[in-house]
Amino acid sequence: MSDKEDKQLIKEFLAGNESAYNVLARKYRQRIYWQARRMVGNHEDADEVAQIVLITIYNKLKDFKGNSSFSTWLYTITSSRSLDLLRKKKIKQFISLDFLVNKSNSDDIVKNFEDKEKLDAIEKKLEKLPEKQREVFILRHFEELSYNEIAEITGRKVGTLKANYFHALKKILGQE
Amino acid sequence: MEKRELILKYLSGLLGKEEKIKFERELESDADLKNEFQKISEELNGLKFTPATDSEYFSNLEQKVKARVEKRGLRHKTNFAFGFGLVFSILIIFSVFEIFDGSKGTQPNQNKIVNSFSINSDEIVGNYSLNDLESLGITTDDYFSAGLSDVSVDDIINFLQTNDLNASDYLSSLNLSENSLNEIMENLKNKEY
Repeated sequence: MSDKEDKQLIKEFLAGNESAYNVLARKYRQRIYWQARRMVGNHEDADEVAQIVLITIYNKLKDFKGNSSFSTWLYTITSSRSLDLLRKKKIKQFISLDFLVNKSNSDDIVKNFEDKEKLDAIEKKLEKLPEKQREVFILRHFEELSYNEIAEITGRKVGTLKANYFHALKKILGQE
Repeated sequence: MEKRELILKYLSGLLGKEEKIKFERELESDADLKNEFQKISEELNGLKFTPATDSEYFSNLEQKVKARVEKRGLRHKTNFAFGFGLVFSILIIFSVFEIFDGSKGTQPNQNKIVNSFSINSDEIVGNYSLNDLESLGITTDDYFSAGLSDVSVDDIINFLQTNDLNASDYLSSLNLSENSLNEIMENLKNKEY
């Protein structure tokens, strides 16, 4: 489905056709979830972010100007909501002992044991990255976006993003 | 520059135009560099893994979102209703106080006021001027009705002027003895009121 089709669906939704929103949500829900999951590192938080993003889209579609593509807008919302959640968690952990409690992954959507182990290893590597580097690495490496697109999403300069990505690669490959 | 560092710079887009061309040429000719480049690429590609997931999760996700959207809508409605109810209640309470606030009426209940301040008649005569009593919420009406005619004429004039009252009408409306009434009226005349 192209960006043109996305914009047509948005138009239909704003005209009162609720099912147009469902089509958009179905199209992007997995991408939203995995972007969030790589940012926050576990299912429980990714589920929360994915829900918040979908609710935000529902409530804010009327504010979508169409200057960028719908998918860029989605990446921006998912990224900022993931960062919000990470910040809130940090504050919560600072004032409580929540971090001492092991997070149960029994309700994870990944059921296969080997897949789970592989995913855990990736999440541990991503966890090593500072949030800004992680954000750039996910958008560049997993979502395969150009630096210009990432600059639009994050509001950072291309030169800064390149440096972020370089340091992220070094950490991921165990050189830093 | 170390080979790995050079490869990472290339992958990050940190090499200049000429450096990039030079690197790509070396990659063709330098077997070690090519080998290292492939190793890094494979390691990085290995991260691009999206496992198979519980198929029900994503279809349930929409239901969860729908429920939250509806709940939020309901919460907004409830908040509005609660806010409206609160403002309405405050207005009702305020109105009730306005209606029953005796101190603002023209004919306040004497016993209520005097009793509420626990002041007996002698105390009033002995210790309070008319203005003091007003500040306590006791009007001249109460003062006179209680038979406390020992009040200065200046105080009476001041009170009548402040409240824009006709002296004759006002004093007649009080249950004063004829002597007290005549005496006060005479004093008012002397003061050219």
